[in-house]
Amino acid sequence: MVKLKSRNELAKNIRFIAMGFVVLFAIAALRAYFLQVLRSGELADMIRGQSTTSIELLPRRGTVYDRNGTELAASLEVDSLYARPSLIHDPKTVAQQLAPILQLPLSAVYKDLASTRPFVWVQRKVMPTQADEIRALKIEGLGFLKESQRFYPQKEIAAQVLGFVGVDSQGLEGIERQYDRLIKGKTRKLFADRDAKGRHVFVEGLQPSDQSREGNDLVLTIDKNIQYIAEKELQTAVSAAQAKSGTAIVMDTQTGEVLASAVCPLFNPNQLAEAEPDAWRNRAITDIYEPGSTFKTFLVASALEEGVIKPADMFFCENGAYHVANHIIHDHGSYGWLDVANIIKHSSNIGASKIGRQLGKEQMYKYIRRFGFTAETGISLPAEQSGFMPSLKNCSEHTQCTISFGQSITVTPLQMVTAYAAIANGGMLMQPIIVKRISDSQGGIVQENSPVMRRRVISPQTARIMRDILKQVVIPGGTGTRAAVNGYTVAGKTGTSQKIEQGGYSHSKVMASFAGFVPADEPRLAMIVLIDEPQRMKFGGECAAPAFSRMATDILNYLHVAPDAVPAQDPGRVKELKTEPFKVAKLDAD
Amino acid sequence: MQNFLTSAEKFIHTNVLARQRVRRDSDVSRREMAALVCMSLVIMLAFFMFLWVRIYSLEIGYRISDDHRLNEELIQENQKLKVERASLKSSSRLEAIALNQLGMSVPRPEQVVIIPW
Repeated sequence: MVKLKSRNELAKNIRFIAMGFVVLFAIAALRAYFLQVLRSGELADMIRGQSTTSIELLPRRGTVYDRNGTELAASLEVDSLYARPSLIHDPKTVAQQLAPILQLPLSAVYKDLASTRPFVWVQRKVMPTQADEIRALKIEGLGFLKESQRFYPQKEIAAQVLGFVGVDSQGLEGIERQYDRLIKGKTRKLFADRDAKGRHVFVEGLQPSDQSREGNDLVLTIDKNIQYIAEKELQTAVSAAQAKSGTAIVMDTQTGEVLASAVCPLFNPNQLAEAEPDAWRNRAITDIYEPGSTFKTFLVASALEEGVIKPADMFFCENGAYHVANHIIHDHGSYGWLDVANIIKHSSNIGASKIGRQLGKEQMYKYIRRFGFTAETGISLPAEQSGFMPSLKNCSEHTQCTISFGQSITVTPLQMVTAYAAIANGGMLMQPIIVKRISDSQGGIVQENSPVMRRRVISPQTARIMRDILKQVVIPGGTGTRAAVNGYTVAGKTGTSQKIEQGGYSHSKVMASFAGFVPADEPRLAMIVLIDEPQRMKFGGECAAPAFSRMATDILNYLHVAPDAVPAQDPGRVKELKTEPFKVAKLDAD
Repeated sequence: MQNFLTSAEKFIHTNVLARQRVRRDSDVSRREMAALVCMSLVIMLAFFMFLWVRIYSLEIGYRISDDHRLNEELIQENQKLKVERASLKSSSRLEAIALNQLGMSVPRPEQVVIIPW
């Protein structure tokens, strides 16, 4: 009986202990559910915070290349010096050590080091040699952080096109600003474990938070060698004419690609503080001007296209003075009867006015718009201007005449060269392109800008007639003989327009220009040279045309374009170049 | 006779069968022991394997960390060299070297010979 009793007690105890275990397991299971399921995210973050760390990788701003793959703008990581003033025991001595290395005033450095703030930048983006010198001092409380620094290895080349970035690598001007979103890249984080010494350990390999760290690269249509030639010759022309500024654009006539866009004065974006803010502006698109006689080309092309005139038509040029609605229009010479080609060759304002009146206001306005004037070209650069033209209803008879020879209307140099390219390529207005391609850091194409024809403006026949008319300007007797290029045919037009000053036209300030294309018969390049306020050689044929000639000579040579005319043995004999005479009968037949 | 048989059975029970039972018990405990040892070995092996993998992954982690740093440094160095190369290839510098040091000049149009092909 005793045995039985004790066996029952044993079984009871076992059941009791088992129950105890079950209860304990249930509590453990509940706790596990609470920790592993309900609070899993929170606790995982907590443990990650204790044992892992995230390394922030700075975004690398994309590189900007010219059309041949030469770097025009690139980013490098450099050191920025910071201080934790509370850890610096003797700010005065430290300031005396740092100031000469950083080439900063002693008082400014001391002010930073003696600050009550917990963190101060002493100097951002220091030179590597300066950083090495400061590191060698081993001063407690000083440290370096990596920051991205933009470099422009070609210095002044295409500075106004490229623009520049601010201290936080944000695009402020030019391409840098226009494409900031695409090229700046994104900050990326790498998660790593931390060991007892605080070192990073990638136990689970590299786990990036975001793959797209690097910014996209840009390939421009600019050719840095053509850009250099354009800038060099423009600067020579501006200096020779003692002018205020200058602009030159070189465009591929077939594609609308801008091969060079030069603005003088130049500036070096690596030394931004030393440049005048006025020099930052890309005048090729932001400055409007009255085009003067270079505009006659489009008037004549419109009139020929509409069939209101023929190349052989003769116009009486009133011997230099033409009365229109209580105004007198003058020519710079006293001309009698001139045909269309000679009106262009001698740049007769009176002849142009008469052609304009024959064309009619409505048609004139229609073609001005079709050639792309008074509207932005849509080139992907910031702050592009559209130009100005009086409304049709406000266009008086006199205004109609002045527009005919390029007054009372304003355009940008880019609009002008694009319109000349349309005549050069047979009448197609191309979309100007400055960015050829956008690619990611692995070389994959993000965007490719192919040539786009915006519209046909004039027929190929009219374009051919215009090419032959414009060739007359450069041969002896024309206003643009100094634009001739030894060994090549040139078509173009000079322009000199008075600037507006205090509500009227200035007697001393002018805009002198030459716009045209080379080689005339099989055009490759459309170019414009614009000189603002020349003090010497005030006419377009005197200051802009020679620059056009020198630019064209060097660029055609660089592009290996075969000469299409007999080269003069003596460069001084360029004026005697053999050029095809203007063939009215043949053109009429066309 | 009856007594003899009873005493013989007793003898067999106490001496032969009991010895056999002891031997059987001893065989069982030896097998259990062997199994226990084997299991312990397996557990220890697994533990050491885990430890080895853990240490190896830690070592790989350090190596990745070093390589990552080296990679970043090399990318920076490469970028610096590209910028330096672009700077050395600047048109103004090359023109100055060509004209002043090498005595070269831009060919005039009449000097250019087009080779038909």
